[in-house]
Amino acid sequence: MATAYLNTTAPRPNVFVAFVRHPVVRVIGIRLLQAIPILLIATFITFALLNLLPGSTASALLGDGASAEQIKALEIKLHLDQPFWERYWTWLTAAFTGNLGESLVNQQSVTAVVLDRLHVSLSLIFLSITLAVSGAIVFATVSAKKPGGVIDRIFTFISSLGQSIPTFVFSLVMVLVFSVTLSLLPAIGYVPFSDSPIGWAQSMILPVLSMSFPIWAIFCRMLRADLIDQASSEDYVQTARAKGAGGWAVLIRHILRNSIFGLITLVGLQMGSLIGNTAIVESIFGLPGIGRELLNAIHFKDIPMVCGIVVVMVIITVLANLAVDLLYAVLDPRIRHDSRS
Amino acid sequence: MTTRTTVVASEGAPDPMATTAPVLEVEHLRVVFRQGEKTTYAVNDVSLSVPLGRTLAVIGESGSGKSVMSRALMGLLPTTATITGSVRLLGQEILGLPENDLRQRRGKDMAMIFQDPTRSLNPTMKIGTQIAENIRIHEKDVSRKEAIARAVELLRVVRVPAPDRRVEEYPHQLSGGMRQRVMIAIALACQPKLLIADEATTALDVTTQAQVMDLLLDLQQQFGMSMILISHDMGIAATYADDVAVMYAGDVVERAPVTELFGHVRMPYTRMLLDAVPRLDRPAHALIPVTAARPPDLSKAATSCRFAARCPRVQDDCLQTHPPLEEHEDKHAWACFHPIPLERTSA
Amino acid sequence: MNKFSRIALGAVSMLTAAALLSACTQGGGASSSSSPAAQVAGGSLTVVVTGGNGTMTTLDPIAPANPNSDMKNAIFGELFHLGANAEIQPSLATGYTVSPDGLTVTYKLRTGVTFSDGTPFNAAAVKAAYDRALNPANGCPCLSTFATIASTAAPDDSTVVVTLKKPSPAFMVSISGTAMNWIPSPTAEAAMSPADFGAKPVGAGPFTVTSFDSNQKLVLAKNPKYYDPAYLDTLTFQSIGTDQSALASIQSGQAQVVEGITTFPLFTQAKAQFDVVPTASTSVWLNQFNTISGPMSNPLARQALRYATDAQGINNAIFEGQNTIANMGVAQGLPFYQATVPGFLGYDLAKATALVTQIGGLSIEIMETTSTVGQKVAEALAAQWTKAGVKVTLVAPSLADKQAKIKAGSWDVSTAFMGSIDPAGSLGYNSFFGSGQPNSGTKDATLDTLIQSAASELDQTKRADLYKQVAQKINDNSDAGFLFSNQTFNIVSRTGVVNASQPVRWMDWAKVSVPASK
Ligand SMILES: Nc1ncnc2c1ncn2[C@@H]1O[C@H](COP(=O)(O)OP(=O)(O)OP(=O)(O)O)[C@@H](O)[C@H]1O
Ligand SMILES: [Mg+2]
Repeated sequence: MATAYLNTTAPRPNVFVAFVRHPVVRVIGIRLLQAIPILLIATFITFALLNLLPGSTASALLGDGASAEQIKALEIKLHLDQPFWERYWTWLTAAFTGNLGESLVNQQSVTAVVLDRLHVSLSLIFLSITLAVSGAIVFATVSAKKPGGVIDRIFTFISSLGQSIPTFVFSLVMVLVFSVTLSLLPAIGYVPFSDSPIGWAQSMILPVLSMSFPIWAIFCRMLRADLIDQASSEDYVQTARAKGAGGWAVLIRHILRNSIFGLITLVGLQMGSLIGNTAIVESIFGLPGIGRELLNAIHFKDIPMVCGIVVVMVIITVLANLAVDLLYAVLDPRIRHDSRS
Repeated sequence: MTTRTTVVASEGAPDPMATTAPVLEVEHLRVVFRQGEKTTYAVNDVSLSVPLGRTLAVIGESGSGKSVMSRALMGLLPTTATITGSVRLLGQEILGLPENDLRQRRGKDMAMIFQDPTRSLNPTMKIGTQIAENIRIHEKDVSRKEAIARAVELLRVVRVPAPDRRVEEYPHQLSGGMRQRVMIAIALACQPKLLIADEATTALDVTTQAQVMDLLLDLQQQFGMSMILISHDMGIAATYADDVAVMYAGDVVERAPVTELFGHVRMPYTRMLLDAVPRLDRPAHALIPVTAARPPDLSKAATSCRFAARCPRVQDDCLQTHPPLEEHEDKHAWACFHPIPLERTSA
Repeated sequence: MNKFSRIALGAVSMLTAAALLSACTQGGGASSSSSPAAQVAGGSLTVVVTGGNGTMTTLDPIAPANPNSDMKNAIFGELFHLGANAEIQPSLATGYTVSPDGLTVTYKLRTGVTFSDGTPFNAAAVKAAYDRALNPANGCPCLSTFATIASTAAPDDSTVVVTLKKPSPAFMVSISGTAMNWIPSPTAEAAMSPADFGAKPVGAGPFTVTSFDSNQKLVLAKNPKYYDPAYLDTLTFQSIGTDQSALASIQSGQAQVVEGITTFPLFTQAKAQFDVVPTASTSVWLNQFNTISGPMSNPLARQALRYATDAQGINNAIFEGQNTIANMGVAQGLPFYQATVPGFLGYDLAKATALVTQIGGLSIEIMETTSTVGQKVAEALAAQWTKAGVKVTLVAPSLADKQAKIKAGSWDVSTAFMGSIDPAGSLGYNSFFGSGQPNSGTKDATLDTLIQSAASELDQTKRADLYKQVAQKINDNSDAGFLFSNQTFNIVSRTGVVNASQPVRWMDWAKVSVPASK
């Protein structure tokens, strides 16, 4: 037995070890492992903070006229009389089995509610990023072609608007222009894609515009600055120009290719505020997403619901950053090749 | 010295009908940078000429305006630069040409190699594509595939091993010397008449430096190019150049064929460069021994000899008037009121 | 930012403002009267609900999170409908009698009614609903109001007998808008999980639930079996997070009715295009004083603050003048309401200043409510009182903290609102002026006796007289300074929607119709 064992293992390359050592697998593994403490900390803080906030779920539910005994009774029914770390532990152990608990307010399964709403927020986030990134690439490239020119100054002005106007105000202006005045798009409401793809598109246009404008502005300014900076400081740009490449070719074929990495990093960094913005935009446009649900849940201090949504938001952020890492690996030959050797 | 093997170029041999007219003629070239309040007189009144097939070395310490001058020739300076004077390439005035016309000539009639091979290639683009780009910009009817095939050929010419594989690789996969060879391949892609090498070997180690310089010289002969070798190193000028121009603070202060110059140095600054023995404990770019002095102030136009403050032969008139570059002897020009007498230099 | 950008930024902001204004004023001048056109069946209507009204977590009648009662009225119907002046009208119950001792209330139910799942709507269903609501384990907010119910019985299919522990003249008006008025199908309730029942309950009302997305959207379809079928085929409630987009939804024609806007400046815009309809008020704003301890135990200090208060000024500044000035703790339109109370102290800055000087200065703390509107009211009061030389600080404790402060006597003035449909109801006189009550700053045995006897007096005339005395006593002792009514407003489009401007607290959506589609 012993010799057979030696004979079979010694010469064969260990596929598993090779797989685990593969850099891409390692990146994914590390990111996912990092997510675990983040999730624990985020949910614990959520539990603790909601517990510290004044008022209780029971009194929020029962309204102003409630008597102390009534509040007490409801708290017992909802197990709110237990110390919060006990409730956190109960919630956590259940969460490990995939059960995020029940809403304190309407007894619906948190997992079911979140899954039901997730696609709305995800499509909002995805479309907004896509629009912001592609818009930023176009605008920043045109701006960087002639820094200080008329077009550049107009674009710079629009992007400074994007960074200074609150999402809330911008959304309402959009609604006033496109819904109230021009009657082109619905002011509120959501149409599921399965009901009507066109209706869905119409109901998403204004929310997506509102979400993407501020991040577009950030992307645009950063990308423009980076393009101009690289154009004036990078030697490979001189090389390209020395070959006789035209202004556009240098910008698009050479500089943009290198600036895209900074943009991708920025997308990863903006994920957090983007997810936060879903709450505002979904509230204004009445979209049934998790951001709006989070606001409602916080209002009632519906801790399982809040935590469930926080978990999902953390996972989205972690996955988005993982996607950024992987995209880097795919796009940047320096990383791609290091990983092969 | 490394032995020079003669390699037959894939295409194009030196033009037997070459006229004696210089490939490049520069007259009174001035470059002034104006950015906000700040003005820099980076190049003042440079006149040069590079005959066909010859190599001109431009020598000078850091900040003397060598790179600015060469970029001015290529039309690569930013818009903050004001360029005056005259630059004639193959008999045609190119200063003041619209960018689009100038573009047609860059990479085709004149090409340039930069100092730092780690930064002068696009890190996100395959080697082959970067070489092919030059070809396809100037020869519109060449297909991508043909251009890549020519890139492989060019890599072979610049002696990059396994060129078929290299075209598919990215700059970071190559050593510094290999990258500089790739830069040379890019520069040679359209067989330019003039090649400007701006400190092309400074960033490389000594052995590689010599290899690359030898390669450049070989290729110059094969392709019949004229070359401007920019360096801070007198040794390179002595070994590889036909003519030498010494720059100081934006001025050409001495200009002569190489043997004449090294035989009869007249300008005190040149003498100082020659006396400086390269030492390992000094960074390559630091200027050599000098009397304590502030670096020349480039923010004002010259009203006196810029070297006066450091010059051992300085006299009153050096501080009154800016000495012009004048051809005092046959093909030997210097800008100095009190040149070193001939005897002293014959050592 | 460079100069160019700053100038352009200014220009664009002005353009935006201009666009906002023009968008808000267009279409003005149309007649605001919805002519009593002939009502036709069919069509659909969208109601946008915002603010507190926008909360619709569950549709279970006993659920603690009390959503907009309109929705439950539409799904479950009502046993009795409460008219504009709190008159009790028959609906799924055809009538009721109260025994002479006031301890037994008997409902007569409409016969032949079925729930939308086909099971019969009968006395047993009503008894089941009452028992479920009154089971303390179920946490119904109705429990405190209906603790007076001793038992319920269903002697026959159409008769329900409710036995009270003590006479309660307020009982019948109080059931409106509570689980006592909404009867779900007991069969469905037993068969479904609490979550499912909360999302798709079965009632016998004019509408049935098509789909429900909690806090988002409720789509209802006409129940053809309802005894008095609704006009509308579809009724949609869409919850929205902000008042501005709620208004935009009606401006863009997506919605026909908006409920619950509390951003009062929007009414000025809305009035030009739409009808702004106040719902029947059940409560009034008041400054309540701690008469037991601290600076406000001095009657002169209380009088000073009453003189220093310009209620109409606040009403104009914050509520666009929509509220009715109040002299006492019952809202207009309700039984026992008095428009004026003799000896009411109105705004008189000179007198206020003199009183403050006379008592050697006054420094107090206002407890405001945590709502935005409540904070604005408190800030306006602070500004007015400062003019009279009073030093004012503001605090905004949570409800629990507020009641703790009141219990400890460590407070001066509380600005809030009080009132219920009947003054004996849960936020009525007892809760705000009874000795030792959670919201009370008064300790006055005579007043206690008056409030108690008024609450149990069965004779309407005697009862009215008792409440008159209560109002007078509170006024004379300056236990509180009343400001104005507190109510919500509906915005109704003028596109031919009929009956959407009902002057009641809770709409009867079965009576609303839209014009026939061409
Ligand atoms: N874009 C620019 N704007 C303003 N000043 C510049 C610019 N480029 C170069 N200069 C200035 O012009 C002068 C000459 O610089 P240049 O790069 O030509 O020196 P160099 O001789 O090439 O030195 P090195 O040996 O270090 O390469 C320096 O003082 C430099 O600061
Ligand atoms: Mg240089």
